[in-house]
Amino acid sequence: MSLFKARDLWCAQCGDNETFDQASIFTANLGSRYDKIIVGSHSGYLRVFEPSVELLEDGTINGNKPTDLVIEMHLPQPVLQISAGKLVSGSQNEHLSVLHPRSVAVYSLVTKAGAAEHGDQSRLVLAYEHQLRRSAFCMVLGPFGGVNGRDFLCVQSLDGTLSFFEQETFSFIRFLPGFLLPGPLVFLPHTDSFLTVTSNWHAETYRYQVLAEAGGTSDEESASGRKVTTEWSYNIGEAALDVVAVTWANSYCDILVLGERNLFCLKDNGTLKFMKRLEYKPCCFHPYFIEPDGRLMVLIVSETNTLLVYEHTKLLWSAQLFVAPVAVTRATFEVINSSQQKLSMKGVLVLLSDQGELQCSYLGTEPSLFMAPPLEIHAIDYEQAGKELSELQKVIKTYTKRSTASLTSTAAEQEVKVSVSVNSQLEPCPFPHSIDEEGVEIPMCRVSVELVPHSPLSKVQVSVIVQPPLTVSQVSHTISSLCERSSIIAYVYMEQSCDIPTLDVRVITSYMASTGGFPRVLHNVAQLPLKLVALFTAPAKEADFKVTLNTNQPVVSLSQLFPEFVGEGVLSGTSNAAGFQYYGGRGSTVTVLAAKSSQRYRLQCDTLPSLCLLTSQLVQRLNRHFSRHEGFTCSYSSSLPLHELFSEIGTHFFFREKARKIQEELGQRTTQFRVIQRRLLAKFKDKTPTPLTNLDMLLKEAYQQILASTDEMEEIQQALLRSRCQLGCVTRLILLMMRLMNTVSEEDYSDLQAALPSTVYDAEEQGWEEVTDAALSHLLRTSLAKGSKTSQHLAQIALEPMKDITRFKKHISAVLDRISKGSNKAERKDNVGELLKPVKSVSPIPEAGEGGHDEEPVVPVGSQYGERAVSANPRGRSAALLKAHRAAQMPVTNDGLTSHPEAGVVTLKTDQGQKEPSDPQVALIEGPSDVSPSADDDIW
Amino acid sequence: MDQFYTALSLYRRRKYEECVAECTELLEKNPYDQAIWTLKMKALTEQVYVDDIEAEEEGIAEALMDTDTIAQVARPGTSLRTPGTAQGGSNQGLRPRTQTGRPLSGVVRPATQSGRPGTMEQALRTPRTARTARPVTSQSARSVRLGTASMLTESGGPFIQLSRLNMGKYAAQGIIAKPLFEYIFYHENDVRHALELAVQATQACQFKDWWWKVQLGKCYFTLGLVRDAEQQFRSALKQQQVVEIFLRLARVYIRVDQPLSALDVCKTGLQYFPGEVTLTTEIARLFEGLNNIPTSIKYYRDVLKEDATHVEAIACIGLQHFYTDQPEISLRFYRRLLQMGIYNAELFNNLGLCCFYAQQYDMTITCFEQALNLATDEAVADVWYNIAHVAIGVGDCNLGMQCLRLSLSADSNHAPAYNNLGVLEMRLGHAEEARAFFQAAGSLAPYLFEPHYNYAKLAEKMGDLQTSYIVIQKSLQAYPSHVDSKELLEKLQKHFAFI
Repeated sequence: MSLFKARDLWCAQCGDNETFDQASIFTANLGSRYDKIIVGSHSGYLRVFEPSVELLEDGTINGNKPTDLVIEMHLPQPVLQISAGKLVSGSQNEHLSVLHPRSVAVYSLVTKAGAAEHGDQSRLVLAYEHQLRRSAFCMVLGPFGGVNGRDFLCVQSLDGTLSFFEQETFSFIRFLPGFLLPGPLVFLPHTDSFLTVTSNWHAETYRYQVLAEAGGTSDEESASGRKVTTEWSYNIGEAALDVVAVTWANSYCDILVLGERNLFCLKDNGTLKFMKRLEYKPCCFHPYFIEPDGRLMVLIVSETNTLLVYEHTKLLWSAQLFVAPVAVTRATFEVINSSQQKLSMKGVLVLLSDQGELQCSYLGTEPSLFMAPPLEIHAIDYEQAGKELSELQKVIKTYTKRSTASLTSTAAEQEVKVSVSVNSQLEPCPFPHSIDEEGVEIPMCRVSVELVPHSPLSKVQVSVIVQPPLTVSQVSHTISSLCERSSIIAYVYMEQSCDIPTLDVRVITSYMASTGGFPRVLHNVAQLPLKLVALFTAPAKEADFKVTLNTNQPVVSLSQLFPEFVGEGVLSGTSNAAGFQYYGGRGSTVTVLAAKSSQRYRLQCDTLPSLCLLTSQLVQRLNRHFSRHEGFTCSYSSSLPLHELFSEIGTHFFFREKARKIQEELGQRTTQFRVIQRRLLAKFKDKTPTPLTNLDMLLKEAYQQILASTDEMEEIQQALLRSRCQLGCVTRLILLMMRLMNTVSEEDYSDLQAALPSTVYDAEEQGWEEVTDAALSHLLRTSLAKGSKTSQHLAQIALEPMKDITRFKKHISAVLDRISKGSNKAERKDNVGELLKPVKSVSPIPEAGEGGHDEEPVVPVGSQYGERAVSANPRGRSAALLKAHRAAQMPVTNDGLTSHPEAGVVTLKTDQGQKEPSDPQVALIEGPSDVSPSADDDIW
Repeated sequence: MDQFYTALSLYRRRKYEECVAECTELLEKNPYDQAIWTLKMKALTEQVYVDDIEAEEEGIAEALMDTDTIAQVARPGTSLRTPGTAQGGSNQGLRPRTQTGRPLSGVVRPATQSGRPGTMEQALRTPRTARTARPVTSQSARSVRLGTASMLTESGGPFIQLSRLNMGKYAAQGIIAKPLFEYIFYHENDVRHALELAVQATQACQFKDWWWKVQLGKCYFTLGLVRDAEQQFRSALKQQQVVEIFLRLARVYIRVDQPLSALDVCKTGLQYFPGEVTLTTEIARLFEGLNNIPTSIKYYRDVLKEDATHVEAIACIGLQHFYTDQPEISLRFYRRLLQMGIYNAELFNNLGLCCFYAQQYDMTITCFEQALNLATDEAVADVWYNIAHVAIGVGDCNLGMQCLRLSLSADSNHAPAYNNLGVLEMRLGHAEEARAFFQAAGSLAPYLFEPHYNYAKLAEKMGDLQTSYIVIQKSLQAYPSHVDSKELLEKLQKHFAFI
């Protein structure tokens, strides 16, 4: 992040595919007025540049000229480091020293002044070369030991030895103690010592004298000797990237250490002068003193190629660079201005990148302006846009007015054709299930869905849904893009032994429309074969529950109605009795009888829920069989098995309550568990170990309890599932009966069907009971309301968890009663209800033992099976009695109802104050959202 | 050229992957070379290194297993949790609050987004954003996500099998132990092993190395043992003063909700390191959290004096000027950010708003266009919300409503948008709709006082005094010194007393 960018003065590219590192560049004047840049690459090229800059009259800068490259030389070895000093004995001139991996060479630069215009001739002459026994890492030059007018050489090798050379002669070799990775090494002339940052992340100094005296021999081979001791050491706590010692006017010396996260400035006695925490990753740095007043300046280049200029810790300038440098330094150059005067330009930045881009630049005030890319702007035809806007406004207005948007799916059907086919041939089921009946193999049925798209669709999801206890092998299938005809196969089988409410299989296809990208949903329903769930068995003679259907056509033989079972067992061509047994039906048999002389059918079974499926199947099949006969009716005239419905509701509700209780218990136990955990944690965290005081046992116990609760929960869930199926069956049966009674208008029936859902779902807060109760009470208050009360305003119905189901039961019976009577008429059509007089006292739920001696009032005449006249079993209670009860309950229900509007009065009085102008003081919230410069703002 | 030198050079040039490859090759030849082993370790660490001082967020696991009891009812102005109690704090009506009740900051930082939940149950129930249903998870999980060490695992199994490492041996070797610790802590993110190493290493150097104490403190802090961490940092500070230790100690105090101690630590740090940017920033953030905005701005100005390119400071000062009705000055700060190369939706959004309030209408639309163009899903709701302000400002209620609806379609939990939509509906006379919107806003953001106040006002006007009475109390709970709310409450109380 910087406001300005560095300005280019001069740049050059050093070779192709050569690599450079921090030590590959050196600036020195080597005897002349202006600085030379010496660059050595890892490929062995050594280049000497002497840049000169020409300012043209029009203000532009003439950069790199070919003559600026003084020498280019290819050395046989890679160049690791370049330095310069008085390295040749008897000469006060500066010589270049070049570090190779296995040697260090000293060259002198010889310049022959050219007579012609094309300039001087320069070459490098090798003065001497020392071979190294160990791979070198870096070298340091300096007047070690306080010599005057001479510079000595010290080479640090990769394994931590320091080899000292006094110009042409080798002096000694020393091991650095505690060495692992080589760190930067500098010589501090004031204290005549060496400073390095060790692998221990300490900055340590060693006196030259100590180093020199520590060894016994001066042999290059042996490096034995006493362990050298440090003069001082400072713990910087991180690895150093570079260390530079800067001297101010021979009076003092500052050591600047660029760590990976901090910049340290140490005095030469080992105390910290200042440090700065860097909020970015530094690459390289260059500290220097500004001459007149000795201000310490530090140039740091960050990883994001920003050059930051600090004075001490204060940021003075930041500039964006165009290269990613590995080294930065300063130099003085010759500048020829427009009037051909030669001036020297001090403090030019010299940057060298990894790839060899050598750049000299200065800090200019040209802003590094970031231009936001312009947005696509198309010319707007105002007239047309205005028209479009008003049209859209209209659409929006109508849309917001009409709260329910009716989406037509006709368009969807044109886009894709979904056909569902159910294979009537069953296969043995390989999937795991929980029906454990001996010798029975559960069949499964293949359902294939074929999708024929008319346009390419994306994200098509096909779900095959059946109601439990049936399951599908794979419920949802996803096709990421649908282009051609494709089919999906799923297998349906029974998973649990429950009563089956329905054999419908629903296929729901949802996808994103190709145009516009809005979602579409398609529904398809198909029937599964009866054989999937039922087996043929011998008919049973006795049963507790009976359902009789009357028709107005002659009786059809059962083999015609159930052709798929012909040939199995005893269902012969003429038989008029058949038994069906469900898989996992616990042995109860549903018997279907066709009357011989009358036009009636009878279904009987020991359990009511089991009847549901076959009754609906029978009705369906009869309707199909007589589909050509006009005016075929199939009716049911007996009473509704309301008591069974209530008992099923009771069971379901009971299990729900129980599940809720266990859930609460589980919540408590887990809370307890966490509390114990916390206590244990506190104990373990304690410095002084304390006895656990049996907390571990408590933890274990609590864990066991949780496990026990979850097991219980699982059981309850199973029971709940079963009860849900049974409740669904009974509800469905009752709906079917209502329909068959033929007294109910279409409209009422559909209302009832919607209000009394036969699919039972239980959510955590709302169950079937709550939803149904709310729907039924709404019905009672609207379409089924008594008299002229329909006009009264609707109260809100709160969907709160139900505490007691008595009222709910009342609502059900009231609704069923009123519907069977016709919604808006008070007159009674129900003959049965009229015939029977309320004989019993009012009791909301008829208890067991009441129906001891009731007779089944509607018996198909001519049935070959005897009737079960008396039953002590409450399940076998006659429906007639229930009618009586229902009649008796009527007033109670009505009383219950009148209280409802009161409960709903809480709705706000909305009529007032509508037209009033709004208060001007109403507060608005406003505010710009946060500027979030991507949480890591330490990069800048 | 020596291969080891190449590896070192690659490391220095921050080409870590190539360095690791080079080291792996070398280690195949010589598996027992400690130097190469260490270099590879360092390179692997640097690849995934993140500054963990900044990237810190308290998740529900910490909140749950936290046994440190913190005063529930802190004295006014001494807790970050009750920022409204500080004296001389800014007015809530002038500067909106974030979800945690703290005043809105100029930048989004870790820990400005999540409040500290009281209990596990509460944490699980906190209102989620439309983006994610997950509550903020623990610190360790976050740093794993920041440093993607898991993605960089070697083909032949992990580089170092921590479970088979002889900790005692390496702990005694100071030169290897330090890089090894960083490797375990940052790359493997295995705090337990790191702690074990640190404990043994600090013993091995006779508790003389402050660095190990800091690392111990880091481990303790990550494990939630804040008091132990504090001890270690304090002990390290006695040995040597380093900026990092001051910062970490301040973080410890922030964690235990002692902002004044944290301020103290930072100020002591500033005595050793005058003008240190990170410490000053920390102080400024703390004052901001304590709702002492003027002092916070003073410190942010100090930061700018030291480092004029500090984005956070510029953004925060800009924000302050905006909320103190100086949009022109605020505009200059935000423009500086733009010039410095920040290019995101939030900035353009702020620029647009500043332009609008500074009556430079020509730039407003352009800025918002840019903002919308750049906005990600999360920001787009805010941008539309602010455009709605412009629309309301120019009197185009229709456009305002549509903008607010767009904002809600981008983020269905945008409570302020609900509130403003409610206000607009009220103006149109749709009291029922307005009521619904206010209720939605109030339930989504109980920390905002506006929806409560508006609802109370509406209810009062409609004659539903009981509701009004209940709701106005909620408003006063969110903003105790709101004058209009107080007046309304007084009026209602008088009315009830009269009855």
